[in-house]
Amino acid sequence: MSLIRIPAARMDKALGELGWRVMAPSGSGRKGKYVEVGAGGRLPRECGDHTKPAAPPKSIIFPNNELMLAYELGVKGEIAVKEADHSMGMTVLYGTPPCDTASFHVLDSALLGDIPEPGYAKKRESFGVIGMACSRQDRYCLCTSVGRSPRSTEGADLMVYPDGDDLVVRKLSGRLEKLWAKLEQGASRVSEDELKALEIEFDFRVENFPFDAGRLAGTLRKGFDSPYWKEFSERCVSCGICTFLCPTCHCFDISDAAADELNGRRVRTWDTCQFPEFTGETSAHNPRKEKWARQRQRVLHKFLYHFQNQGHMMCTGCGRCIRYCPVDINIAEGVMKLGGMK
Amino acid sequence: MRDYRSESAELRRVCADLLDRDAVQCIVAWTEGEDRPRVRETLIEKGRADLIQKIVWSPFCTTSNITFLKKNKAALAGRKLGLVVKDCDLAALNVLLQEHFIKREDVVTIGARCDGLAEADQFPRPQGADFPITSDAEGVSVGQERRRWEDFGFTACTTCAYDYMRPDHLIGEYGRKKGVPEWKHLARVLAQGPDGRREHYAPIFDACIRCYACREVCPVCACVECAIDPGERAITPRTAPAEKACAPQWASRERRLSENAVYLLTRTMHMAGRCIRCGWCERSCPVGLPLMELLDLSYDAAKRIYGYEAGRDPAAPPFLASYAEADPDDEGAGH
Repeated sequence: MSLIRIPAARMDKALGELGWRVMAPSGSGRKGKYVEVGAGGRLPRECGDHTKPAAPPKSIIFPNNELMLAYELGVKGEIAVKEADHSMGMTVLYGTPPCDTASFHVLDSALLGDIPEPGYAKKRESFGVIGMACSRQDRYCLCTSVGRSPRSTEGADLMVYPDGDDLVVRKLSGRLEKLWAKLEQGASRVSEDELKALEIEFDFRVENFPFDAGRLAGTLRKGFDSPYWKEFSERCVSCGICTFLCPTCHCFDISDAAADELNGRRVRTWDTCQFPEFTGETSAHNPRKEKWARQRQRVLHKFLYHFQNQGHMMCTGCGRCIRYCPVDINIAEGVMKLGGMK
Repeated sequence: MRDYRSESAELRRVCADLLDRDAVQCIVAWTEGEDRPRVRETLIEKGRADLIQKIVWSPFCTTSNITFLKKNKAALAGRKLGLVVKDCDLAALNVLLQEHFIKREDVVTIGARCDGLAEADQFPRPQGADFPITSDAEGVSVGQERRRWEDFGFTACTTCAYDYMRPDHLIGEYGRKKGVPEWKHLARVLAQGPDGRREHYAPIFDACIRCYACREVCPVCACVECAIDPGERAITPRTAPAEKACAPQWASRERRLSENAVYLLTRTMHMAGRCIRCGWCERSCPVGLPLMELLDLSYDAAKRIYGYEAGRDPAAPPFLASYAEADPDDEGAGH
């Protein structure tokens, strides 16, 4: 059986005993963040008691600024290269809403594929996600429009369903075995039927944007040459908000930062398809010179290309790109218009 | 009390009239989007009665049609353009006129009197298409929902002093007394000396994620190439490889305190006499950085030391490109 009921305090205690670094959403909106819950700190008791932090959790294992190597040129011309150590102490994310939880499934599919990304792969080894079923929606949520739900377990190693002072916990992978062993001791078993009764609270459709992304993929493909892209992106300012705040956007740039003539660092930083030079070539050719082409890339990557390649939507429905867009560009509205629903 | 439904109706009449009699070829206006009461900048051509019907003016017009102009300059070139603006947008236009970004005779301004801006996200989405938006000296109401001006935390708005703008066509009357630019936050920081200031600003620099939204939304950040992150570097097929390879890199792409500081401080310096305190950068910042605490440093310096008020006079020479005998020397200007 992989379904148990525990007093919520036991989770705090078990995580405290393991000494892992625990990160949890704290605060809301622009001031919100995933922060470390220090010793004695209180874990969130329910999901949706605040707006999601603007900053997505991806930065924990996919940082905006990651050292790849440092180099040093010796006096005789020899070059010493020191590769960065990507190892990380055991870290768990606790109480993530299903949209942010699912983001790690999406990131895994992109960064742990045929050619694993070394920094991400290394950190992923000592990283687990404890998702929490969500009971509230805000005005930009769209998880049920992208094939997910307030109770989906995608990306979770453990899933937690708050029930008063108790938690019902489901085990979904062997990644957090040590924690599970502690929680399981003396815990009462819960049947699937009991969970179903509890799940009613987390079983709702988010009605902000009534569409089903999976069904629209075919129509989106036909919309590649649609004149609508220009209208959609007319007021776009080409900043990086939609993609940097996206929990699944994972494009990066690699550049060398010279400290002086003899020393330097190679770093990996977030990059975005919305920056004009993202696809700039040294010949001066730029296949996505126009902002409508860049917005088309963002929308179709999320709702078509990734879906075709991986079988799941790249958008997890968190709504950040819509809420924080300075000029009210709304990806859901765009998908619905192109899908012929509006 | 101001009723933005009737002011919007008046604005629609003015815009329709300008297009009808060919006084302008197209208009950039705020229109109602899908996410009421949020609004969006829209380019409206003659004959688009459907879009004219959607034109609105309200405290939710937090964006800038001048930025739209900046971002779509090539597409709009050579056309007589109507611009719906609020007070700070007019000041931004004045900066662009000073720098010959656009010719005065090419634009017609339709100005709305602004009492301050409000954040749509702080209101529940109103039901139905017809809901009143009103404001008075204390706050803003959407239907039955009410918020105070201070609730939005828009420092640029609560200290806005624009009451002298003269657009070509005017909509509405002020419904509250304008503020005065207050520098309490700056006085606190400046009193601390270099170490205290470093301590104050370091966390701000450190938290920057370099999405460049502050630069992109800024109506007067209009350089073709940004010195810090040349995202639109003017490379042509004729640009020599050496020129591409040797372009100066003032800040690396690393997202760390030192590099972020170079970006934000360079922007601050370059904004002296140009930042018109619209505050859109601060409103946009996805990580909530108090950017006005930086930009007000240069606004304050230009005004206090050189008596130069950004965006006030379109005929004045640009601040950073002018010199007068009476200017104080470095010693007199020093902080």
